[in-house]
Amino acid sequence: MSKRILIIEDEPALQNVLRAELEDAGFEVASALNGAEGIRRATDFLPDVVLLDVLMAGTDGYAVLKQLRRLKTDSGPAIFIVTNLADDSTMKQLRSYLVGKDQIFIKSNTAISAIIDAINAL
Amino acid sequence: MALPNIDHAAVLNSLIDSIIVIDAAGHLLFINSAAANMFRVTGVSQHGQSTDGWLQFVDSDDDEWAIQHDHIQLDQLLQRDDVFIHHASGKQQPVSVTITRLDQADTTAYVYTVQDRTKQHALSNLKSAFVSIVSHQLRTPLSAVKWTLESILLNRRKDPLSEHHKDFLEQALESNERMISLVNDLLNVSQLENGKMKTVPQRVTPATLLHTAVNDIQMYAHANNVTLAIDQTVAGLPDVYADPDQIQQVLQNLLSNSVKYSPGKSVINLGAAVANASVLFHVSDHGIGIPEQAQERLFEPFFRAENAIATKAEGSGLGLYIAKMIVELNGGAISVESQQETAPTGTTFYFSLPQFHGDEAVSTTNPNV
Repeated sequence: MSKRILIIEDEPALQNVLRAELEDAGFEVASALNGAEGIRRATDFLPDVVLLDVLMAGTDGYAVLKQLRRLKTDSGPAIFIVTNLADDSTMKQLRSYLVGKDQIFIKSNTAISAIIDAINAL
Repeated sequence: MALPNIDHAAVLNSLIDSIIVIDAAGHLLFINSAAANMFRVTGVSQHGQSTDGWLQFVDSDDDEWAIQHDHIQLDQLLQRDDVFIHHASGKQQPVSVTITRLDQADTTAYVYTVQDRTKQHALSNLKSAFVSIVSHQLRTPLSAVKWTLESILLNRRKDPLSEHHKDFLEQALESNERMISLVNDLLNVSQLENGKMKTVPQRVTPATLLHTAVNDIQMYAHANNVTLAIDQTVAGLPDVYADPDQIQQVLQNLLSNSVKYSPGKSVINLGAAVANASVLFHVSDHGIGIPEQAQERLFEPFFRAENAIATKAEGSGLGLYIAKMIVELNGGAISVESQQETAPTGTTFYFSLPQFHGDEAVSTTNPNV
């Protein structure tokens, strides 16, 4: 069965290309353009992996992360934070939120193929 | 001509800066008008009284600055420009403070000079806001361009793409990556200069640092037909105490330079050795070398040696400046060795990191590092 990926990303240009590439790589993909919608989709779509942007208007990535953590069980989704907030202190803060198979990707330094490889490696 | 009799107190009261003089027990000996105004105390009536409760400063976390007067020597001054006065209204006023010691007869006094830094603080905040805008607003579209170009080039949908178009797209992707790298460098410099980059030192094995760095840059080295070789001797070295993420960046900056300025089929050697209480790392290449007169300025921001510019290789001149600041932040030093007298013999960069002794305050180990 193909893996289910939820993209939570408020930048349509990024979401579109990410979605197209992930679908072409054979994954089942759902997406949300903001944090609140993302949390809803996480509960009904039951993704294997959530690709989560951090800086979003309204419910930001931190808030989504806290919510998902509450929902998360052993079989819950791996959270891949996909952000451009690459400053040293933010990175250290984000890392402290990660558990298990969670990872961080810096958008501008990451090829989509690297994200696909990481999903496949789960 | 007789000198006019100047009232020194009147001179001090005419200053814009705040002057406060206290004795060793913290009793007020003098306060000028600017200080009385700044600290909201009614000047003269306070003389001889305790300064407890109002002559105090807090840092950005609202923690009080514990001033140790007895540590101030006669010819020294104690200085901080990152503290605040916490006013009763709740307002925090950014100030710089200089404390000097004054010994007169049998009395030791301490002179506080306090300057308002509201304007500088506002400017610094503006700079931070600008950096935040660059960080997100500029990198997001750059990422969108990068991912879109990569998507077309990967061509999973097997849309026909002529060789000609493929070349153009690859050039566009390369330019995009150069721009991303410049933005990254500028962000790093800004954070380092603003003291926003905090080290989280850990116990790290030198061999791990070097192997991680080599893995990360292997593709770039391969594309330039350059071999990276780590000395066998690094296996037995003592651990160092440094921030591994930041040291990776130092190594990446040094290695990418070495690869960039090395001829094809050459080898770049990486290694380390014990030097006193430190471990001294080195990166040696057989590249174009660095002229002696350029070596002094090599670690300055935006500086690029003439022979580097002549190669037409891209570079912002920020990589070594960043490397220097990070190494120093981690308690080490960086230096360069390159001889050019007859023919270029390549360049060796050295940087030191403190050895781990086991009694450091070990930060929480992060499994994701």
